[in-house]
Amino acid sequence: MDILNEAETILHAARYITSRASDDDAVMYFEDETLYGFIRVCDTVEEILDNWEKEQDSFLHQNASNLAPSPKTWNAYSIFLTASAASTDAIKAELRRIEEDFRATRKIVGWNLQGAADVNHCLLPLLPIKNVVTLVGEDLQERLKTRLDNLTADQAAALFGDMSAQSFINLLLHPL
Amino acid sequence: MKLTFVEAEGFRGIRSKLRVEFGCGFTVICGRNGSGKSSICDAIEYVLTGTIQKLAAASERGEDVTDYVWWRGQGDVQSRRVTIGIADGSGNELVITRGPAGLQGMTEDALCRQLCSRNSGGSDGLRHLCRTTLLRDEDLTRLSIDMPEADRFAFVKAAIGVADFSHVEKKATEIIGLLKRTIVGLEADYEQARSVVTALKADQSALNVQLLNVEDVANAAVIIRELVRAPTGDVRELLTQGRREAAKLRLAIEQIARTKAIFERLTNEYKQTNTPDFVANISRLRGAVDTQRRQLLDMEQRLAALRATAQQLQDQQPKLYGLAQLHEHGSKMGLEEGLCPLCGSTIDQDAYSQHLEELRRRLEVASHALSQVVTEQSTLEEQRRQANNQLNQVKAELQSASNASQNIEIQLLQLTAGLANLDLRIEHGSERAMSEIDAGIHERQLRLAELEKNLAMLEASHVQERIDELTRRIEVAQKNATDADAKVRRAKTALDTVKEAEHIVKRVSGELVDESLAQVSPLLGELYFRLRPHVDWRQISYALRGDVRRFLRLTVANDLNPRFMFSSGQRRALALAFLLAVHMARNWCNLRTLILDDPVQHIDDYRALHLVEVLSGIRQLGRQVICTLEDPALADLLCRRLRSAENDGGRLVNLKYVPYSGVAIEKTTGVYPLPNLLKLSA
Repeated sequence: MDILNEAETILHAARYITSRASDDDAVMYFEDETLYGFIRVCDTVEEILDNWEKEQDSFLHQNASNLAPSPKTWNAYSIFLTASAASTDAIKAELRRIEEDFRATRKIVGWNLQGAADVNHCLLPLLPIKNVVTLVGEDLQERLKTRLDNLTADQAAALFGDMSAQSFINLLLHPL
Repeated sequence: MKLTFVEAEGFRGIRSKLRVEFGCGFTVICGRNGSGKSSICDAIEYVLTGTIQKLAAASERGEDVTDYVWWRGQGDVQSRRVTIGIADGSGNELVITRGPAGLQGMTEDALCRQLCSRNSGGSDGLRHLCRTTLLRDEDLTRLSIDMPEADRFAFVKAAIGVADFSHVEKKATEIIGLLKRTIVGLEADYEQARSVVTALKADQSALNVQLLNVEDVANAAVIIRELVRAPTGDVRELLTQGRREAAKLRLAIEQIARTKAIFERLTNEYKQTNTPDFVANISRLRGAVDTQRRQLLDMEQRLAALRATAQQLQDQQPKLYGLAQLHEHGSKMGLEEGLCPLCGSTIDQDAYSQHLEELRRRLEVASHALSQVVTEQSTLEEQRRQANNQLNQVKAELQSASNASQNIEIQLLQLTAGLANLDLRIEHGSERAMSEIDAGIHERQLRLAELEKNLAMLEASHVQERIDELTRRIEVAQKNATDADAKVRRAKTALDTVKEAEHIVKRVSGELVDESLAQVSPLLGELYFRLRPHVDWRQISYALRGDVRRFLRLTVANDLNPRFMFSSGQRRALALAFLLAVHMARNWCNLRTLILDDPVQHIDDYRALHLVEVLSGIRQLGRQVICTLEDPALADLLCRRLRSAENDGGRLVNLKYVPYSGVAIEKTTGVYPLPNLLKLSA
């Protein structure tokens, strides 16, 4: 799996514009009407740990001329992804701490990415809510009436209708 | 549908008219404590529901939320009302105003129909709408993770509105309650009827004892018992048997008396068949029969002789006829010249006349003899007929006399058997028979008199009357108790039917919620994953249990309950994931607005940032987001991230509290789409 290709596909679907770095095929830039940032794909988690800050600063420095004093300047994302796994819990904790560093840009770190779903999970903060449900109603009343086989059709209709409780009782106690 | 504005005056902390225009895309309302952020949310809720749910349960010193809905600060207000505007996306705006008197210009039902597509009428539907639209800081965990599992299930069921059988469930519950009360009433009727029966029975028993304890009456009862030979049964039964016995006795006496008369006559007749006169008479009659027979035989013989003589005389008639003709001719012709004209002999006149005379005499004798024989024969035949009659008569008398004795004996035997059937045994031939019959009649008459006397005594008793009356009342009371029992059983059957129906309704509702939750589950999972309450436990699960009473349990890791595992902030993050999932799963609500009232209390910056990104993800779906915040920096972050578009813009509203004047808008800032910063090729 090419992580960058997968990320590009996902971001395009979310209406981001993207662009590969001309001098580094492991880097891709992205932007939409609200956010912008870059994705760096690393070979190892150690590479992320060693270089994330440098990569972030480099990105900001390279685009300094474009980052005019706009509110959007504060909507920058630095995303570091790798297919390699974190070998220890300590390394995982270090990787998480990168995300909790709020300095300059919002950081997202993903490791052990083995498929498109893993990449998608990492990029969720940039994406619209995906699992929107539309509960399509069936004829629930008919379903319930079918189950209410201990009532006659008239009684079931009365239970669902406007008949008062007392009238319903009368119907049960004195059936026609 | 999206909110366009809220306008309030004299409401909560808002004294003078305050109007907040909402951005079509989002609005961030920022202000310090007491600046009126929550009053804006309260106003929206109050317009829709007529109450403020977060304060609804609170009361103190006799005051509750209704006393604090309207301005209570210093200074007067010009009016008291709250108004909201809702745009339908087609340029139409629904303006809803509520004052102290309620909704103005529309009913709750009409409003509900505008905003909710499901059949959940009036304030109930609007209440569900508010609970799933307006997420308040103080309600986040209360309405989700801290909620009892059964309430959580009910909340989700009502909120996502997949199975709106609440009216059926409510009606079934009402019917069950009514039926239970009806059954209690009917049971009471039955118990009352039974208590009447037992009380009457007790009275009757006491009266029976009382009756038997009255000396005369008691003696009468003893005598009647002896007379009817029926020792069992109560007084009433004894009376019945006594009356029956008396009737039998009367009938027997009457029959015996009738029999006696016949018996008496037959006995006398029977006695007469054994007297010497009777025997002599029989002998005489037998002699008479013999005599008559002999006379008849003699007459037959004489008659036969007369018949023979008559026959002979009859045989001579032709000859006599010839002689008569000769006599006639001879007399007419006379002598012809001295000669006999018949024979031609010479004869004188005297001789001739003498001959004729002789001939005439002979003819007369012959004629007389025949006449005499015929007369005798006729006389004898008459005598024979009379003798024959006499014989028959005597024979009949003899037969009659002979049969009488035998017949009388047969009849007497029959009468004796009839008397035996009446329990009176006699010997008909005995001298004592009649006296035995008389004794039998007398004995029965005495018994009848004794019985009637004692029956009359027993019946005349006043106690007995009361016993009879009680018996009638007991019959009526027993019928009433039977009827009441039938009604109870019918009502219980009806109750079972409705309970089963309620069970089925709840079950089907539960099934539908199960199915809907299964559909909502991925959304909950995504929101939980995005909000990341816990570093390690990145997935949330739910479990349903219970059949009719359902429980919704949220779990993380290996079936751990986050309610007890998570910190305050983590629980809030989880609560947000849960409530946002519920909000987004609603398919019945036309209002596409999410309102959050200070949702980041106790949530750290890292998770607040996740919330901002989730809200941004919701905004990307075109939904309107309104959020109040205290922190200006976070408000600023939200305004930057909540995606403003050309036709879906945002606003930042800063509120302030002006002493003695109430809430006021400090500043309203439009949030517009942001320009691209990177030089990227599309």
